Amino acid sequence: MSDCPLLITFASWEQRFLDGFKRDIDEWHPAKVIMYHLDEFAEMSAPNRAEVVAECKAQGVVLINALLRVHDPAGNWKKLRDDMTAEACTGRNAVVDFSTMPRETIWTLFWLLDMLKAKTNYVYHRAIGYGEWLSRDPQRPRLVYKLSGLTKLSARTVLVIIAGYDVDRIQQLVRFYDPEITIIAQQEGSASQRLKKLTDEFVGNSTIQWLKMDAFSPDHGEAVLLKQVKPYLDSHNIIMSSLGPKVSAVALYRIQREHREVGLAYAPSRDFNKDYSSGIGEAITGVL
Amino acid sequence: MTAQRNPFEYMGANDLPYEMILDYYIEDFNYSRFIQSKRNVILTGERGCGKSMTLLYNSWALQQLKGTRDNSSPALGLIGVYVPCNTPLTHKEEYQLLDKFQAALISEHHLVLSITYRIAETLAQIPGVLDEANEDQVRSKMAFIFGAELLRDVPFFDAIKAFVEKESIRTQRVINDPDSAQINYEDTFTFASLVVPVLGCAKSLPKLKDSHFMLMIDDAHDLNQHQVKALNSWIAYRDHSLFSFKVAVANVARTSLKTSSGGSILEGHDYTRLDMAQPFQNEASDFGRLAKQLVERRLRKFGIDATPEDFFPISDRLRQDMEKAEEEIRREAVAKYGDDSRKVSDYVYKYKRAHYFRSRPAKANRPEYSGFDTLVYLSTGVIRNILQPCYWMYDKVLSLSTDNAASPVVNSIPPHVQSDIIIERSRVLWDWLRNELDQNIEDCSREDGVRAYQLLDNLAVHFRERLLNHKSEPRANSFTISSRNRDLMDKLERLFRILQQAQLLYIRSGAAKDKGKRESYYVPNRMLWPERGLDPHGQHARVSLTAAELWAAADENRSIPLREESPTPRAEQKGFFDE
Repeated sequence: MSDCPLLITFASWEQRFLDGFKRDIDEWHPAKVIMYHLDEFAEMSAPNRAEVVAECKAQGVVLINALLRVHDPAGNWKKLRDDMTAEACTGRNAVVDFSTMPRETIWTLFWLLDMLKAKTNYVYHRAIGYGEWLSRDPQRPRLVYKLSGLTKLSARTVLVIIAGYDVDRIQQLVRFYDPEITIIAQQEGSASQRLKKLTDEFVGNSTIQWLKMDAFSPDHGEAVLLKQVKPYLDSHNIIMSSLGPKVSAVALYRIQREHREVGLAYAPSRDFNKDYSSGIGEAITGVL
Repeated sequence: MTAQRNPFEYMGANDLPYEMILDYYIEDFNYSRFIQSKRNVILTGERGCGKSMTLLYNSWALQQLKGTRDNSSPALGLIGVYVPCNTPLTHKEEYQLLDKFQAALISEHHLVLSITYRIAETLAQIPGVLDEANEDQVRSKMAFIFGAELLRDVPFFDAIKAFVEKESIRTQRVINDPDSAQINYEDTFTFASLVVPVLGCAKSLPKLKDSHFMLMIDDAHDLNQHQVKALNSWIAYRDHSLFSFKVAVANVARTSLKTSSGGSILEGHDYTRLDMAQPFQNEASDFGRLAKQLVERRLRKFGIDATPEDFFPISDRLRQDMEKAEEEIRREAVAKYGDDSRKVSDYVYKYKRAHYFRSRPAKANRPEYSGFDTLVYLSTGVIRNILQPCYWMYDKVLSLSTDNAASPVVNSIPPHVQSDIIIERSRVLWDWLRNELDQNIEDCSREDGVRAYQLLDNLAVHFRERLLNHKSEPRANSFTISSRNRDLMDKLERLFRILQQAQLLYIRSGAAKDKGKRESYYVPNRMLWPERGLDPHGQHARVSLTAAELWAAADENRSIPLREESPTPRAEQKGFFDE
C-alpha cells in the first residue's frame, strides 16, 4: 500500500526533472502522478515527458498529463483547483516536487492543498551546476490569486524580494510596485558579480534594507524574513516575491499563511536558458 | 556614493515630503489653469516628467500647506483629492477568476472605496469643515448611504475613513478566504452609490456649499480594464458642477478610452489633454526655462548662491573652441551671404557646432561635455533626466572633496566632472541597452532587445555621419518615418513601444512640412549620444527615414543611408523644445 497517493510535478527540459522524478518514485511510491507542463515549452519538455510516461507505465503508476498555458493564469488557477478537488486530496497525503515548477504554481498548489486540508510534503532537487543566466523577457509582475494579501488603503508598500540570479528583475519589481521601503534578501554565501552589481546600484539608497538569509536552512529563511517584516505588518502593505533560491517560496508561503495581510507577487518570464542547470544534487524535503 | 544630502535628489513625487514638493515644484500657469478648473483633464507623459508632482501640488493637502507658508487660507472653491493608483489593491487580480459582469463590479468596488477614502482623508484636513452643519443629521445620512453605523467617538470624516477601510478589508477577506475557492462578493459599491452621495453630502455642508471636487487619479495606467472603462464612464458625465477628473497616465496611446457602456470619451469633448513631456510654444512654458527655474530653486534651497550656468560651467577649452568655430563659420557665411544678417545668423546657428565637431582631430578624445544648456539638451525634455546626471555630478564632487566638514560646500561642478559623469552615464545606458533590455522591459524578447540595440546603434552611426558630412541639416538627431506600410509599421511600432518603455525613445508630435498638418517624430534619448562623440545639442530638423530603412537597421543591422533632403522651411524653425 502506498504512503503517498498523489505526486504533483512539473515537467521541464532539465535533466534534474527526470532524475528527480525517478527519485520521487523510489522515495514516495505514489499511486498517482499529475505532471503539469507549459504550452510554450511543450516541445522542449517533450522528451522528458515521454520518459515519465514510460516510467509510470513500467511502475504501474497512474499518470495524468496536464497542460497549463503561459497566457492564461486564471485558466491555470481553475485547472489546478479542479484537479486538486477531483483528486479528492482532502485529508490525504500529497507530495509537491517543485524543482522545476513556476513559483505561482507552487503557491497556488500549496494554497489549494491547504484549503483541502491535505497533508502536503514538498521536495526540491537541487542541480549540480548552473548556467550564466536563467531567464529573459520579463512579464508584468502579478499578485498571486487568493494570496494577494489584505491591502490597507492608507498605507505605503514594503516590498520584500529574495534576490537571485536575475538581479535586474529586482529593479523591475521596484519600478512596478513603487514601494516606500524595499527589503532585499540575499542568499548567504552568494557573491556573484551580478549581486555585487546589484549592491553597487542601490548603495546609499536609504529606502533599501539588506538582509542575509539561508533558504537551504530547515525553515528556508522564514524566521529571518519574518523578523525583518514584522515591524511593518500594521503600518504598511507588504508584498513579497522570490527571484532567488526556489525553496524560499516555502518560507514566503508560510509567512503569508500566518499573516494574511501579506501579498505574494510572481514575476514571470517568457524566455529561459535551456542550459540553465546541469545534473542533480541533494533533495530538500519538508512538510508544509 | 556619499551619504550627504543632494539637491538633485530625484526620487518619485510620492516619496517626497510635502514640504519638499512645495520647495521644488515649479508652478506653470499653462498647466495649473487647466488643472485648477472644473474640466476633465488627462495628463500624459513618460515616467519622470512631473505628472505626479503636478497632481500632488494641486491637491488640497499641498495647497493648504502652501497657504500656511503664505499666511493665507486656500480657497475652498476647488478641492483637489489625490488618489494614487499604484497600490497593491489596484494590482489585485482575483477579478480575473470571475465572469465579466462580476469582475466589473468588484473592480469598480475596489476603486470607489479607494476614491472615497481619499475624499474623506482630504476633507478631514479642512479646518472647521463641519462648522454650522448639523453633524447628527449628516452622520445619519451617511449611515443610511453606507447601510452601517459610523463610529461615534471619532471626527466625522475619520469615521468615514474607518468605515471604508473596514469595508475594503472585509471584501478582501471574503475574496481571499483560505477555506473556500469562491471569489464572489455581493455587497459591492459603485461610483453612483458611494462617491457621488459622499460628495453630495460634503457639498451639503455650509462650508463646502460652493466647492467643486477635483478627483486626481494618478498612475491610471495601473487600473485594470474594468476600472479604466468605469473611470472613462465617469469622465463622460456631462455635469461638472460637483466633480471633475484630473487623470495622470503614462501613455494615452496605450490606454483604452472606452466606457462601460461601449462608447468612447473624446478629446476636446469630454476631456482636455495635457502632454507634460511636450511643453507649449510660449516663453513661460518653455522647457529650458522650466529646467533653469527648477535647478535654481534647488540650489537656493541648499544655500548655494549660483545660477545654473555658474554652477555647471562650460569648460574653457570647449568655450574657446566653440568661439573659434563660430568665428570661422561666420567668415564663411559672410563670404557667402554678404551683409544679409538673417542668412548669416541662420548659417552660423546651423553649422557652428557641426564645424566644431568636424574640425576635431580624428584621434581626439571625446569633447568635454559641459555647461547647463548641455544638460538641458541631454534631458530630451524630461525633468528627471536633468536631475539624474546632476545628482551623480554633485555626488562625485562630494566624494572627491577634501573638505572634512560634515557638509562640504559645493559651489560648482567642475567641467571635467560634468564630462566624466555624462560620458559614464551614456556608456551605462548603452551597456544596458545592449545587454539587459530583455531582462528589464516587459514583453521584450532577446530578439527585440537585439533589434532595439541595432536600431539605435545604426541611428548613432547615421547621425554621426550627418554631423561630419551632411550639408543642410548636420545636427539633426530626431527622425520622421516616410514610405510607411502597415506590415513594417506594425513591426516598428512594437519596437518603439519597447524603446519608449525603456525611455530610450520619445515620440513627439509636431508641425509637418505640409501646411497645417501634424506628424509624429521620434527623438532618441540624447544621453545616448556622448558615448558616440555626438552633439546632444540637436537642431530643430528631422531626418526623414523610410520605414524599410529603419526596419532593416533594426532587424538586419544594416546601416541607414545618408541623403541630402530639402531643408526644413525657416518658418518652421523653432526652439528645440518648443514644438
